[in-house]
Amino acid sequence: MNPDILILAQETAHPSRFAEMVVEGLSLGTIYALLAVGFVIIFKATQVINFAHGALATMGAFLVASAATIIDVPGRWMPSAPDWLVWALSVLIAVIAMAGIGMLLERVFLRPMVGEELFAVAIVTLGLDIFLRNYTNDWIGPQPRPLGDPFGAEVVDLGWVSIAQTEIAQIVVALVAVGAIALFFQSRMGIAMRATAFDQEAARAQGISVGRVFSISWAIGAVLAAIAGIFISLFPRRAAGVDNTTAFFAFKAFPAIIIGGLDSVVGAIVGGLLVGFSEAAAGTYLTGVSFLGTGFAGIVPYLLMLLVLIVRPYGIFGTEEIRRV
Amino acid sequence: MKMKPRWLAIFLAIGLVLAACSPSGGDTTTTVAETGTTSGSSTEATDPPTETTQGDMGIATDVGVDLEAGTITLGLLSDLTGPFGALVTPIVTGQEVYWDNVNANGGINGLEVKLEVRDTQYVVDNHVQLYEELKDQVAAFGHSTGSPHTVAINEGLQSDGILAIPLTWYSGWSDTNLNSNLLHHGAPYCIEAMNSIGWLKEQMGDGISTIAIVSLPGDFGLDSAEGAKKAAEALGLDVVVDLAGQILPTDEATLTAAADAIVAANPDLVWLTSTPTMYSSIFGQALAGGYQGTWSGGAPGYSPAFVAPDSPIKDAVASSMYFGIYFEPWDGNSAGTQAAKQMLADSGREFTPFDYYLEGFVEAQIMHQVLLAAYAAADMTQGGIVAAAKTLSEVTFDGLAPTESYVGSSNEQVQRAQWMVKPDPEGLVSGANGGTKIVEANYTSDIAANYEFNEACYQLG
Repeated sequence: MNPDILILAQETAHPSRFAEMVVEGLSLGTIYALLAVGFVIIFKATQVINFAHGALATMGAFLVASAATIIDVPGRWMPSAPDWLVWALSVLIAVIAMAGIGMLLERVFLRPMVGEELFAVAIVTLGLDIFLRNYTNDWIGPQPRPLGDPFGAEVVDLGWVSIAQTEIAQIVVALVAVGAIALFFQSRMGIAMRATAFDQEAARAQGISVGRVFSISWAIGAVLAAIAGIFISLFPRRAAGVDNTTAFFAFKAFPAIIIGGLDSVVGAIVGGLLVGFSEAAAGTYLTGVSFLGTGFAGIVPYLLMLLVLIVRPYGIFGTEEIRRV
Repeated sequence: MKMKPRWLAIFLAIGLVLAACSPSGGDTTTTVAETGTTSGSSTEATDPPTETTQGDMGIATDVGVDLEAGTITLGLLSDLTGPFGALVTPIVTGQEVYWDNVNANGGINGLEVKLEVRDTQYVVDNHVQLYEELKDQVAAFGHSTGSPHTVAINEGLQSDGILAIPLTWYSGWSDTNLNSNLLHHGAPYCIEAMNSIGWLKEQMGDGISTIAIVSLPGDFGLDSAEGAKKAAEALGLDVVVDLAGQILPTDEATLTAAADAIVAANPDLVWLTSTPTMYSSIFGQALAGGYQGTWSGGAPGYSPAFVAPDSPIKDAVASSMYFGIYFEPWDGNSAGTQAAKQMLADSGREFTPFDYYLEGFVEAQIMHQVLLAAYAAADMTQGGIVAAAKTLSEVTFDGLAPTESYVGSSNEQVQRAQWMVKPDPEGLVSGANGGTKIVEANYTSDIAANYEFNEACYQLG
């Protein structure tokens, strides 16, 4: 056996590396899952493939940086309030703003496209992505913008492995967000959204305001993208803050939703976690294996996606489309 | 009125023919000075044809120098919005401020210098396209950002007979086989690695016996990694992580994998050559994994945003990072640096202290001395400017940068001196410096001093 591979195998077999890989997979997976769930909610309700999701994630993170560190709102009016409270309020402002932006984008750019070819609508979101990404990157400027969070670079030592406080917060927030989505689907609006996803015309005939459903789905999608964008831009992943590469991160949501199924929220969560874990495992165990080439770990989610597509073309949890000929 | 499609087609066809015949097309005949005489081209440029004119001052010109209008036009191929935008934007400002100052004080013997700045976004294809656009408008290129980008136009520069200053510190620019139309400056990446690692070893002694080498692929990352490997070999350091060329800017997984490998191997020193975003990501993830060793790497990987007041990593960065830099940073107080800072202050522009403004001054001063030499030789054609540049054996900066030479062998031309700096959050806040503090000025390690430089440390594939 090649001695380099032997050394690599010995190093990577260490239990702490496995534990690191698990933490990494969970951390990456929850971000991908948040992005994927937002994407799926928009797709389910409106049949729109939203290519502007990465731009929305970046914009959400930038709004937090703006509120917390650039214009200092609400901090300037609460000088004696604890840091965590001021930051949480800054995040709340950014999240509400993103919900509004999501609704505005739907009303101005997507609503007029109702009834048009899905391809044409997808191209509109591609245009939105370029527009939003460029403007947001211009606002961010050449230097990263720190989000001013109270977590800092604090790390919790769990023995075999260390985990950043931000990653713990991220996992907790992702769980809360998923729980909130599950509860939402039990509410009147949630049921209306599910009905609209099933059959728009039938939903309209039942008195459901389909336009409102579209609007709410974009608001939820934009909020989830913003939450993901915030966690991407915190320590340790973007230790210096949000910058003009943040939107790239969202591309990995695409294999996640294809693996899970384009129209399945559960699929988006499972797909996100699978992508996160596969990427972390490949990074830990396959980096440095020269014959695989540079950046093989980044390809693994796409290989997994191809594999799933061959076996289940509609994704693991996706609805199989039946065509009668 | 409704126009018939046939007429519309005819109008469009006429429009296209007129556009193809317009003067902004391929040929680059310069406006002839009133008393000028036209002679054959003295440059090696063959396509498109250029005409050389002899002004009434007896100065030969072709492209980018207009004696009648009294202007010299220089091109800047800059990454303003790409991964190095944070560094290059202030460099362009530095150039603009310097040339404004020169112009206000009489220009180059009465000729005003104008800049044509183009944003390449650090994309090689854009870079080549913009080079093609500008080569028939400018006398020379005041900078060309990026190693693979400059490699991509180097053949064109040679065949077109145009000079460029690479805004990149690839060691190949000091190799006489490659630099016939290029003016290197500053210690190249591989020498920088030899200096920085050598300096850290001098300071920390037995505290550094293992090293992780992680870098981008390409001329930037691999040239730097090659220097780090040579330094490790010379100093007897054990390379416990070798991810040279294994991290990619758009692939998060490679950054995570690098951080994991660093945490697992726990080296005394990490040599990381990347963009600032990649640097902060690997640094942050390794820190979160419990790694607490020393960090260094190629200077363009550092950003003062790392030590900004709201940065969560500022304390960790300040206590663990050291970098080299190719010129005297803002923290310095040589006459050249003081003059540059004063020009910026007097320019009326809004700015906060930042080291890379000064790189713009270094580049502009090199070009200034080249243009004066070309003027003195009465040949300000593109080819004349190249020829004049290659006669300069001593380009000085009054302390702002180490003296450069563009004559002699590769070993004689290569720059070996640099400044050693460490991140300084307090300096950034107070405005005393641009977020870096000098820990040693004009430093050359024994490894770099003794290194026989005959060709690029990393050979282009």
